[in-house]
Amino acid sequence: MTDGTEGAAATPTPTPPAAQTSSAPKKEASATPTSETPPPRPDPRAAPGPSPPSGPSSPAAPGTPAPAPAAVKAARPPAKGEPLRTDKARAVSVTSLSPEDRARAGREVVEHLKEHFLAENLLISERAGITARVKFPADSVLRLCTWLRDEGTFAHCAMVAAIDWRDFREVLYTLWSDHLRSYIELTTVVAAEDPHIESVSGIWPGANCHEREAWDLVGVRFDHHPDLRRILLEEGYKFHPLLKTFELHEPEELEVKSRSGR
Amino acid sequence: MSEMWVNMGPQHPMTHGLWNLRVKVDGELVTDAVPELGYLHRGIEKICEYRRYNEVVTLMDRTCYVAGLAWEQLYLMASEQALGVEVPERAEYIRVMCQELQRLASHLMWFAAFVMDVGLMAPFGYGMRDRDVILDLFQSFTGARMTYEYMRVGGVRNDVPVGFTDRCRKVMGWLEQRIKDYEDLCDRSDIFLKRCIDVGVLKAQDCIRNGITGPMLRSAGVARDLRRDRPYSAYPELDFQVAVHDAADVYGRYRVRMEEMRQSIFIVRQTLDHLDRKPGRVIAEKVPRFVGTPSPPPGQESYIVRRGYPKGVGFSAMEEPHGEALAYVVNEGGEQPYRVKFRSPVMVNICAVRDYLVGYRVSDIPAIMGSIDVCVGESDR
Repeated sequence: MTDGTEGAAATPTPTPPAAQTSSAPKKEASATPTSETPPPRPDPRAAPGPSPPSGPSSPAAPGTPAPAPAAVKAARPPAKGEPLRTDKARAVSVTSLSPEDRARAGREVVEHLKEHFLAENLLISERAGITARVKFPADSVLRLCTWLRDEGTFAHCAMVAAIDWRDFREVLYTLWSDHLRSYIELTTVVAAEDPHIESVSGIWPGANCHEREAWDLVGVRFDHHPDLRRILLEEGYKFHPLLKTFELHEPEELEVKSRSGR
Repeated sequence: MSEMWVNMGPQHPMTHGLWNLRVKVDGELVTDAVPELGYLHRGIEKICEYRRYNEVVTLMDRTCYVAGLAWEQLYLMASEQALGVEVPERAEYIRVMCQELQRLASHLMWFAAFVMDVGLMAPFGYGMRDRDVILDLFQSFTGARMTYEYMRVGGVRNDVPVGFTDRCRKVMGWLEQRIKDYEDLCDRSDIFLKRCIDVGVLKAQDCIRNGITGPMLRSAGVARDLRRDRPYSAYPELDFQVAVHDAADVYGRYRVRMEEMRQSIFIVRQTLDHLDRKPGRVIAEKVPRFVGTPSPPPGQESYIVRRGYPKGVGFSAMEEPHGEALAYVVNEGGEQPYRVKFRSPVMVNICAVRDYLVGYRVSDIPAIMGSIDVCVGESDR
C-alpha cells in the first residue's frame, strides 16, 4: 500500500514489473498458510483401500462461508510433487490495495504512459468504469502493448475486437490489470481498404483466438500472426459477416426474393 | 512409434457440445492438440444488429444455454450503459439472485457431466436432478426453464411471486447438504482421485499468458473474480469470498467449483433477505420507448418520438459461471445496436488446449476437457 505509492512517486516506473505482478497473487496465497503447519492428512494413494480421506470433515477446511476473513483458515500450501490434496478450496477475501489507492495507481500509470509515448500523440480520455481509453496510432501497437504489459501491469489481454465504421475499421484492445483491478481500453483505426495491424499474440498468446475471430468476422488482417485462419466460419468462406456491407435478410424478404426469382 | 492425428469430435462424448478436438498422438501420449470451433456458430453478434435492444435478450438465452440469465445481464448492463438507463435497486438484487442461481445450475450441470466423464455414474443423476430443482425455481418466476427472456433494459420483467423467497431458502438449505454429500462421494472414490490429481496442470503464469479466466484460473492460485475485483450490479453490497485452490489441476478446478457453489448459496440467501425487506420497482421508470416497440407502419415513422437519447458505448464485464465475459454495445442512436461484441471465456479456455493437454495420455483427455466446463453455444455464438 504505502510502498506502492511511494515507489511510484520516486521511480519512473509507476508499478512493479510484470514478474512481480504475476507473483502477487501467489504471495497473497502463501501469506496465511505459512504461519502454521496443519497436521498431515492421510494419503489414499499411499494406502489405497476403502478408508476415505478425512478431507471433507477436516476441521481445517474453510468450507463454511464465514463472512469474517479471520475465521477462515487457509488450507495447507501445496508441496511440490505431493500426490493428493483433499483440502477444500480456500475462500479468499484479501484486498491488497484500497479502491482509492488503486484509482491513484491507475492515474499514475496513465501519466507515465503519456510521458513515455509523447511522440505518439496518444489521445487519452476517461470512461466510466475503466482506467482510461487510449487512442493510439496503429503502427505503435507493439511498443505500446509491450510497455503496458511489462510496466503497466496489464498482464491479461481480455479481448481484441474490431468494429466496422464503414469509412474505416476500429481495433479495440481490452486489457486487465490484477494490480489495478481495472480494465484499460486501447483503440486504433485501420483503413477500410486492406485493413491490417501488427498482431499482439506474441505479447499475449491469449490474444491469438481473438485476432482470429476479428479476422474471421470483420476482416482485419493481423500481420505476423502465427496461425491466422478463420475460427468460427469455414475455410474458404468468402465474406466477413460483421461488415456493414454484409446484408442480413429477414426470412420473409428471402421468401419474396425466391418467389420473384421464379 | 509414429505419430498420427486423431479427431475427437465433433461427435464425441468428451466434447459436451459440437466442436472438434484434433489431437496428435504418439501411442497413448498426446503430443499436440488443435481445437476446431464454429460448428454452432449462429452469427448472434450479427443478428443483434438487426434487433431492438429488448429483442436481443431472446438471443442471449440461446448464446449460453446453461447460463442464459448470466448472458442476459451481461448484455443488458452494457446496453443500459450505452442508453443511459438506471436500474432500480430491487431489480439489481433480483438480477444477482438470478446470477447465483444460474451459477449453481451451471456448476451442477458441469458436475453431472464431469463426474460421469471420470467414471462415476451415479452423480450424473444427482447433479441433473438438483439442477432441475433450481430450474423449477426459475420457472416459478420467469415461466421458463432454459430460455428465460426475463431481463429487460432497465430491470427485470416481473417481480418474484409471493412465497418465492421461502421456497428458495428451503431449496438452498437442501442443496447445501447435497453439495457436501457430493464432495464426500467424490473424495472417497479412488477412481475419481486418481483420474483428477496432477492431470491437466496449467500453472498461474501460463493461465495469465493464455488469457484463461474463471474457475480454471482460480484453481491455479490466482484470486481473480470480477464479482469482487470489479463489482457490478448489487455485488458491492454483498458479502462473499472467492474460492481459490493451488493445485492447478483437474482436482483443483473441481474443488474451486464446489466452493463456488457454497458461496453462491450464501449470496442467494443475502439477496433473499434483501428482497423480503425492501419492496420496490423492478424496472426503471424511464426507458427509451424504442427498445421494445415494433416498427411503425411505413409512413408513420413519427409515431415513435425520439427524445434525443445520447449515443454511447456500453462496456460490461461479468464473472460468468465459466469465466470472465465482456460485452461491448455500440449505440449510434438507432433503434438497434450498431455493433455488439462479446468475449466468451470458454472460447479462450478451449483455444489454449495445447498448453494443458500435451504430455498427458489420451485417457486423460475426457477428465481434462470435462474440467474446463465447455459450453459450445457460448464459444461459437
